[in-house]
Amino acid sequence: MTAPTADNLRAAPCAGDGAVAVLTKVLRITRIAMVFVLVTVIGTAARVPFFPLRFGGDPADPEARWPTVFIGAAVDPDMTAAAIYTQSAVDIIMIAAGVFIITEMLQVLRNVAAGNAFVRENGQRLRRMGYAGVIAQLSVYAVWIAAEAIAVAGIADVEGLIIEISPAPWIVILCAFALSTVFNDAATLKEEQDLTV
Amino acid sequence: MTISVKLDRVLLDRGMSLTELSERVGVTIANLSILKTGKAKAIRFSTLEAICKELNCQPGDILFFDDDDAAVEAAE
Repeated sequence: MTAPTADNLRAAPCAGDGAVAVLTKVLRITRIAMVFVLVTVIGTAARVPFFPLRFGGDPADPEARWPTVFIGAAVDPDMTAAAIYTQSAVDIIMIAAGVFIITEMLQVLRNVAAGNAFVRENGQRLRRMGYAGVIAQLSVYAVWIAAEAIAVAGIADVEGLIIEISPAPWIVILCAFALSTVFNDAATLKEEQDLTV
Repeated sequence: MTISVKLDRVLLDRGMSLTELSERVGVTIANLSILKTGKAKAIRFSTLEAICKELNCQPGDILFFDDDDAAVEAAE
């Protein structure tokens, strides 16, 4: 009986291969949709002339806003222009981070599909995903604090702005960092296994 | 690395090529090359046993311990 090596384990068909393929397709479609929404949110916030879509509402004309289909502000008809701008900034940060995270995830899945699940690159990518989450969350908090500061200073009214601090993103971020450590340790073990004759 | 593998010398003494040893022992040439070039991190007892059996030698004939740290300390 031959000893299990990385090569013959890789060659064995796995039930998870199909799941990886499906997940890759879903993530690719999601990324395209997110890039589309990101462009429309930026276009709306920047008031690009003749921009075809209005996600998150039009700050200059709150009455003419379109319903938000993804993440957005135009759920509360009482939202002020400043609140819509703030929400647009939050949307842009979150969607941009989401696009980055999905791109990294797709690279991880590509390695997994190629049979190289436990490589240091995957650990590094998971760590980068975690950092992207941390930066995005802290940036959103900074935007909210700035908006409230503007409101307190009486410069603009941010009536209708939804501020929701949830532990869920932080739990996901912690999981990404924990998984990164797991992948790095697994890569070390695999290297040793591959170099055991 | 303090443990080194001197497979070349034993192979030369026995007049055997790496390919022939690979076929006899059932270890790929790639793995034997890893062993020969000192990149290996570990060697299984079963592999060592098979190599010693085919080369008719003792493990000590192919494995050597170089006390690099002691040499460095002595030099200092």
